[in-house]
Amino acid sequence: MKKILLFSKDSLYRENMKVYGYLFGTDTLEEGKKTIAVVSGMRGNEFTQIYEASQLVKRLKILEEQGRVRRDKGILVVPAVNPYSINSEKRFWPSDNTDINRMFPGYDLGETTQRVAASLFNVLDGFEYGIHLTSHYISGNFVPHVSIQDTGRDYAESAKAFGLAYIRLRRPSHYDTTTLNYNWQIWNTRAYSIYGGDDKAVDREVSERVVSAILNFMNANGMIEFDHHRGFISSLITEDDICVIKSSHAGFFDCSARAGDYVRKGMRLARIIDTGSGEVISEIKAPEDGTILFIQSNPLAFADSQLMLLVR
Amino acid sequence: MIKNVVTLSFPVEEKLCIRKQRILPAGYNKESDLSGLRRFSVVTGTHGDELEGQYVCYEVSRILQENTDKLKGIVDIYPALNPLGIDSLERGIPGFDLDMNRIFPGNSHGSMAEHAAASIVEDLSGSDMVIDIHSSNLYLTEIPQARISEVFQNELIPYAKHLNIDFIWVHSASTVLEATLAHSLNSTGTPTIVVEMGIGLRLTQAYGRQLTQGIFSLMKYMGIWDGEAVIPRKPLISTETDDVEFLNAPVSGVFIQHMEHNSFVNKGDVIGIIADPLRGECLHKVKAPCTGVIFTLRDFPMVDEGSLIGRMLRAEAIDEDVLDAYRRRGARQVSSLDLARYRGGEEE
Repeated sequence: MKKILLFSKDSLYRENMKVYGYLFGTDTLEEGKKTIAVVSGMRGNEFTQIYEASQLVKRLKILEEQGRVRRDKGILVVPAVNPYSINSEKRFWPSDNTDINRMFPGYDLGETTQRVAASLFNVLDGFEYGIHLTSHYISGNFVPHVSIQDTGRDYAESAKAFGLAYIRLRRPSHYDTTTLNYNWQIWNTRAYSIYGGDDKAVDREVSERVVSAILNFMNANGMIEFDHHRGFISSLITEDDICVIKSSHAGFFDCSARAGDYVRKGMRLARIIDTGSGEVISEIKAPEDGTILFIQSNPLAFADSQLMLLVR
Repeated sequence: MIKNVVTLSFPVEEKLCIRKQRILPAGYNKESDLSGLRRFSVVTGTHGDELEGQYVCYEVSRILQENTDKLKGIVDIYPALNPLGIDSLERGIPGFDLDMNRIFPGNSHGSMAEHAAASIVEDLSGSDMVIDIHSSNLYLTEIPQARISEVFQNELIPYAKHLNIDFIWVHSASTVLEATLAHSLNSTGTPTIVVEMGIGLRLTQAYGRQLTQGIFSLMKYMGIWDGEAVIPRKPLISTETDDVEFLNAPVSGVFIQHMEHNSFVNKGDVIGIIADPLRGECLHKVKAPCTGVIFTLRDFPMVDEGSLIGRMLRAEAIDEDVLDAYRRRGARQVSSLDLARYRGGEEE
């Protein structure tokens, strides 16, 4: 294992922001050895994702010491792309609230977060595989799964090697065209985003599953030797397989379902409780049979807003 | 006549209400048949930290209500598309990660914000003209300007010339900007001009008056207003990407402004300095990269490496008569910085 400084950024009153990577299997990031990059911590509150990356570093270090990491396959793990936001407890860039994951492929003469994105993409460009450990724009709890842009449909089958329950093919929205995932696959990296767990705290159970999934993937693609449980036989799902569950009433969101639950049509998933009278004003029932993919973490429900996602 | 465009329940004894004021010509009321009338819409407040449009909405509404006899069409005024953001001094929607002006045309199955966006687009659609007023952000001051995507320039520039603004900036198309309110409306046949002016969290009354006059001038041109209107000033127009120079901070520090916003400067003139107060050093002298007009200038002093300090329109892109007027006014300094005394910050 080699810890390398990927890039740094100066500041007037803070210490320079230093972004490190942990390199395995090779000593340099030269062409031909850029096999897989795993990136997390692009937002300051992606705690579970940063923890996953740190645990991945720990596991790879042991595997390398045991001689189970191939010497000609470069593995780069970047646990914290955005230390400034993490240290100041902000989700986005501290001084202007911009999101680095809306700035790719970046611009080295542009604004601050465009420059951070450019510095990072300069390192990440050219990898054969790319994994981004990331979180959703609505705060909540996801069943761990792999997400691929619809434009990367041709390699979707390869994501089965993770052994996670779902491979979600997403149609990119306009704002997705500036994410790392989208730009990676435009520049011929097979890009995978992994979502999972709750973003309010470190979810160790989910982290363990995600780290194992990444090691499974590396094993299947000849980067490491890792013979562990192989996980699920993944289902490939598209937006058409996902049902949005909303509430017509606003109030406390008293949810009895959990992400990953299999539910039958008509089963009660949550109650909406009036914030003044304490009365139950509405019950949210499963609109059809399926598995809960996502539940929002906000204890309040807003009317006509997405609360859960269900895989049919 | 005040109407609710969007009404969505909050958890505790409140509804999210996005409202508009509809002003009709004298003799019309809500029962009247409005089918023959043209409709002009003024919207603002998508970004909660941009308040310049508040003054314009107030003035347009006040003047029209005092003069409905001179009004020949419907005017809809939407002063707050993001009421929560305005209330909490937040650019976006509190509790929602995405920029509200990146989620249009919205989605009635999505989050509260996406749902609201869909209702806003539905309500504005069919207007004969929409003016979407923005005011930069917390950091930069802008001269009153229209921002028009190159895709829609032929349709929109003739109207924008009547808005009494200083600058029309035609920018290149980008996929991300296709999710703005203006793009969503323009691409579905509702002409929409984005106006940027002033700075976040403030009212620049002179700019507000200028644009208010411009809105009446444009309404007159469109046959919606029959009262007095100014002859619009002739704007700078930029249609080529190379016309505009961006000035980004090469180092982090405190930007101390030397030249005034909207000045004509010569290449090499010092626009300001970036200083390090701890060490008492000038880290960089920000020099004009070309001869031309500073149409964007940083007001907020702290800069990170990369922060935008300003934008300039190159002199070559400016019509001779407009350029002459700028030259006569010359480069205006706001500070008494004696630049000769500042050591350091020179380019290699």
